[in-house]
Amino acid sequence: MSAEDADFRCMLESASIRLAPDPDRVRAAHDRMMRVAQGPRRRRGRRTVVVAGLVVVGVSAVGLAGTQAGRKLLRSVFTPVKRMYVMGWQGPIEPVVTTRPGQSATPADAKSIPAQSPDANSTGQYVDAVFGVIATEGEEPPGTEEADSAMQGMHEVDEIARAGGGRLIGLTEAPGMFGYVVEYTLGNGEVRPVGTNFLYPKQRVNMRSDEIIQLRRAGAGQTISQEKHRIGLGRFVIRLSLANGQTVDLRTQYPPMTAKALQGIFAETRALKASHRFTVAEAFAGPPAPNATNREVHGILRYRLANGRTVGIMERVPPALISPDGKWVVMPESQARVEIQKP
Amino acid sequence: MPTTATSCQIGGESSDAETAQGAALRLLSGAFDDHYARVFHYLSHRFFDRELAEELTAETFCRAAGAADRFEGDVGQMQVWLLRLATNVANTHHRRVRWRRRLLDAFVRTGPAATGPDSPSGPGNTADQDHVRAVLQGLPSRHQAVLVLRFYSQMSFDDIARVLGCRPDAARARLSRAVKEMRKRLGADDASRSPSV
Repeated sequence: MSAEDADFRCMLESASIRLAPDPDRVRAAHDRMMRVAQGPRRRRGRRTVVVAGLVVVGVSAVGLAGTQAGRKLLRSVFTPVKRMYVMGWQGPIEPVVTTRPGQSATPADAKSIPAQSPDANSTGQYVDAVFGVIATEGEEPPGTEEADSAMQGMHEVDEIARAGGGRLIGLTEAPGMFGYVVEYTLGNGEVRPVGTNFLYPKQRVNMRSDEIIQLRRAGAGQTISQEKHRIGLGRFVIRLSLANGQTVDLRTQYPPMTAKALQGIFAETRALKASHRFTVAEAFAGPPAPNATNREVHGILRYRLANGRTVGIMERVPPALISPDGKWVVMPESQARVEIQKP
Repeated sequence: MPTTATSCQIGGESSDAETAQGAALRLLSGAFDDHYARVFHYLSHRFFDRELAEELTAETFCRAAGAADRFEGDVGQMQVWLLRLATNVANTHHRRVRWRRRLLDAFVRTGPAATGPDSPSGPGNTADQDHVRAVLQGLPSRHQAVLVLRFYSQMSFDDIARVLGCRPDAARARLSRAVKEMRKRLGADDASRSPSV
């Protein structure tokens, strides 16, 4: 050790202090240490749990943020819940009327059964129409303001419709009736498509609906596309060419055929149904009818026609084929059973 | 309480957990009795503050109790392990109060931070002693530690290296740098004080 180092040591040592620890504080420190020592495993366990939790959270966060599936999950979790709310608007005065071409609608037609209805039980009646439906999407159901606005819009649509306005943008056919999708442009510029099975007289003229029906009943039209479907003879899109050069695409379950041919199919199915010569593709119980002991059962009944084609019709299942417990449709010849689905 | 210098592991796995814990408690209690004064002496010279040294000594032994399962070695190494814990406790405290001391230094040149009733500052302490303590406390904690361990705790470089977690050569080099730094500061302070003397 050099002299310089010795000086330095002396200087430091001169600054040394002699402190005796306070016995009370020593005892307190001892007790404190022993308290800690008696719970070391719990402390270790707690620390392990915390570290493990952080690891899990970190890995999960990386997994969620670093993968497309994770980001999609996050978006789905943190996206505010939106529900579809549907507001129906009852048709103003006129009930749904099914008319044949050349006939004029009368109030008596309102409760008439659609002329082409294939249902031999003839249970369906169309008394009133839901003229329009507004679907909104949001976190809350539409409030009074939205409802008033929607109603106001529908009244405006009704006024336009009465005046014969609107543009036909879609045409569908279910056995017995046509459905129209009409696009209306409101005063505020909003374009609102409305589905309906009722057209005001001026609309029928402007949209040439009578001509459309006439063409359809005459078996006109060109099949643009078709695909298999359990109901009807399939799914068809038929393009009808109107006299003014316009074309209208009709979505239907039957190919171009005359009304007489179509009626012939329905007549044949009614006969087959009466003799229980059909199969049941699907059966489901409807809501309990008032003053009725059993629920009505409907289903998709499939008939093999004389020409070899198979047609499916959704209609009421004959009550005689329903098992006593109401759970099965039992075919009398084959004893084949189809379970009735409850709503 | 005397302890025997047998190889042990305080928190080691044992089929009889209660027996192991009881042995660990006895060992800790013995270590407390054997080494409290040593640790207290070391921390006293890190801060020159009796209250603070007692508090940090207690904190050191609490850490020892909480980390007992990580101690592996014989009882003879207990002192080094405790001083390593004490160094960590002191360095942590030093970092915490550094900003406060710097703030105070910015306004007035002070001596040791604490001047309580039991503080060494007083009639019996000369101005040079206080000055040396102040300069020592103004050093970085790594320099403080090696100086105190070497000159106040009288430890060998091997033991200092174990306490600081480095090789003996590194401990020696660190001490050299600490001495140089302290000389430099003492000289600078002497120069700055000389006009007023």
